[in-house]
Amino acid sequence: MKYLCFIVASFLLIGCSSSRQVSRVSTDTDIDLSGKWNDTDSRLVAQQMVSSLTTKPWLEDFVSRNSKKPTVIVGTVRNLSSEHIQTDAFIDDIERELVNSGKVTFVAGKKERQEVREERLNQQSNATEETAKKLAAETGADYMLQGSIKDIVDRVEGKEVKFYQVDMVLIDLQSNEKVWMDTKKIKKVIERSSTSW
Amino acid sequence: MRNCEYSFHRRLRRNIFVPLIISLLAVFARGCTSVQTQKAQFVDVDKQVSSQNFSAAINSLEKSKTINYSKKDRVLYYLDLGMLCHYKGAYVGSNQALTFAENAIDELYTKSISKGAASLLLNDNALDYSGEDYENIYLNIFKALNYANVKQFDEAFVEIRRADNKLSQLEDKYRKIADNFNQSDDAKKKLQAQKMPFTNSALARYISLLMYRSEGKYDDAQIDARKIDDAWVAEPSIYDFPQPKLEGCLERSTKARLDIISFVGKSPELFARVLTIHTFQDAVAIYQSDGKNEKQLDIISWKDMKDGYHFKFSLPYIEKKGTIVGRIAVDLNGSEVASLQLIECIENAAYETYKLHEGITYLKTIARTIVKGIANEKANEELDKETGGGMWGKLTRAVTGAVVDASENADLRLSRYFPANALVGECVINPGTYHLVVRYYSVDGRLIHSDDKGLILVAANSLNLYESFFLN
Repeated sequence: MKYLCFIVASFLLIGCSSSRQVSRVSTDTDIDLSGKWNDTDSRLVAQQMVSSLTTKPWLEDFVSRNSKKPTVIVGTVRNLSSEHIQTDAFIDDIERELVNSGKVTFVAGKKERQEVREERLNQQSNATEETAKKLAAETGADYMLQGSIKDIVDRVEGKEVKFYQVDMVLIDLQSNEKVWMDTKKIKKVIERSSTSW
Repeated sequence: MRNCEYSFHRRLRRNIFVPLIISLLAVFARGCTSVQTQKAQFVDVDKQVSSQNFSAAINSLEKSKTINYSKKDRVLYYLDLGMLCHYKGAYVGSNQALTFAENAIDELYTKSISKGAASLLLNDNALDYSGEDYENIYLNIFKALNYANVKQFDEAFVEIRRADNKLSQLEDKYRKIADNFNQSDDAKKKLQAQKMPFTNSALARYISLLMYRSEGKYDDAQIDARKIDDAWVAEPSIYDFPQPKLEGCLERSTKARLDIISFVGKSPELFARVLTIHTFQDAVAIYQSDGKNEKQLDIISWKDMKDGYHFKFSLPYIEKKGTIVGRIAVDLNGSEVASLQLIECIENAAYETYKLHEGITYLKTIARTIVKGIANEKANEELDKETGGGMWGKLTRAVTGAVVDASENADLRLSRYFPANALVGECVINPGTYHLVVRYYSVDGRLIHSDDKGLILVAANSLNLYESFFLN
């Protein structure tokens, strides 16, 4: 009887107990929980894309023609996948890698530009003449970087294969010429424990 | 002698009290949600949905959460909550609930061993509800509508793609399930993998077409239009009604387009029918009774089966609920400008996809009933041998027999608030402000409901999409 009570009490305790453990990890640690697109994918693809972008002939050609670094703007990266992906976070990763590469001049994107323009307009009536920034004196971009994220999902029972394809293209804003294109692919195999009857 | 007497009483206690305790526990369990489908919570919610009071319906459903739902029913709860929020126009809440449901369905895609054992001992009600295929597909379509309503087209396209992926995986899923079943010990009868009746949703394609067109992507919209045509060719059991006439929807126009999608009717429902198993040497026969006569439905070869056992079991069957709506008209500024056309019979998709696994449920339930029934018979035979039968034997036999029969409740769980049908219509008009009313007429032409949307602004080169509901 004592043993029975002990076992029952143990089960009750197990049933009632809950625990949560939190541990801090480095932000560049690769952690894959669900197999979905995550910060690691975003960071790695951004690094690879910018590395490819800044080592291809278009850059050398531009510098030799114009004796200055090209000015680049990041346009839209469309999510064409079956997963809700924060493309804004991916664009941030691309922008950071581009700025840090030091090989191109980088101008603010559409959303940031809007806010900056409003501030500049505001300065015209509220700031002193010496400190107010001039209107219509922005640096126009030479190239726009655009892209898309697509995926293919194959799933049978507890096994899923996810294939992501990130395509990016650099377009000459004057001539619409595509001066650089690249594709990065990620393939993930996700296995779940399964049992069939 | 005393030892012998002690041993006899110990055996008697073990053989009588253990089955009795198990039986009483099972009887107790029968009353709770783990072995029986709960429907009491729908009485109030149904009334409120019927009278278009979706806020009250959400409140009633939320109040019933702790009483009528346990964790194993979370998919059902979130599906119903997500749909009610959609009808209310609470798109963020709807997406949140439908995402909870989708994630839970995804988690439950593979069955757990422990729950499988509970199902073997009791019935499928003891398992986590993992969602019907049509629920898993339409939740994405309604999420797409939620996003489209707040003009987040990229997110809406994600949901359309998810629905499309799920549709393309269905055939493979059922082929695999049939293969697994046929290789298992339960396979007393070979299960034929059926042709997938639902591979492409015209409603999903139509929503996609509207969004592509509003973005000026006519090539992509054209692909969706072709896929809508394909649905009527490739899926005759789902699209068994005339194809809506959508000509003109891909013509470029400087005018504005007003699009209406209306959802009507009730979701299909599961009911139980009681069947009987009679066993013969190396075979079992399944019978259905009308109260007077028994009609043989099926006979299954069953190696080493003995003659003379009789068991009862109950099986779920699906029934369409349809709609009382015969025609839907769109009035602008007091004049009728369009009639809506049926584009999707959601209840057909529910019915046809449910039928795909009905065969598996049938064979699995028979196997479970026989295993439980024979185990009970064997236990009672042992008990009779040791006690010499008598009153105790008869009593335990009667109680355990009743409990075994009672534990075989059909799993009648199904989401409640998906509509039966979707209808669409479009008006090409000058941009401007209009007074929009969607009128619902019965089959015999009586006006049964008017959905007054008030003054609406219709703009050119933009998606002007309005939804209307009458879930009766």
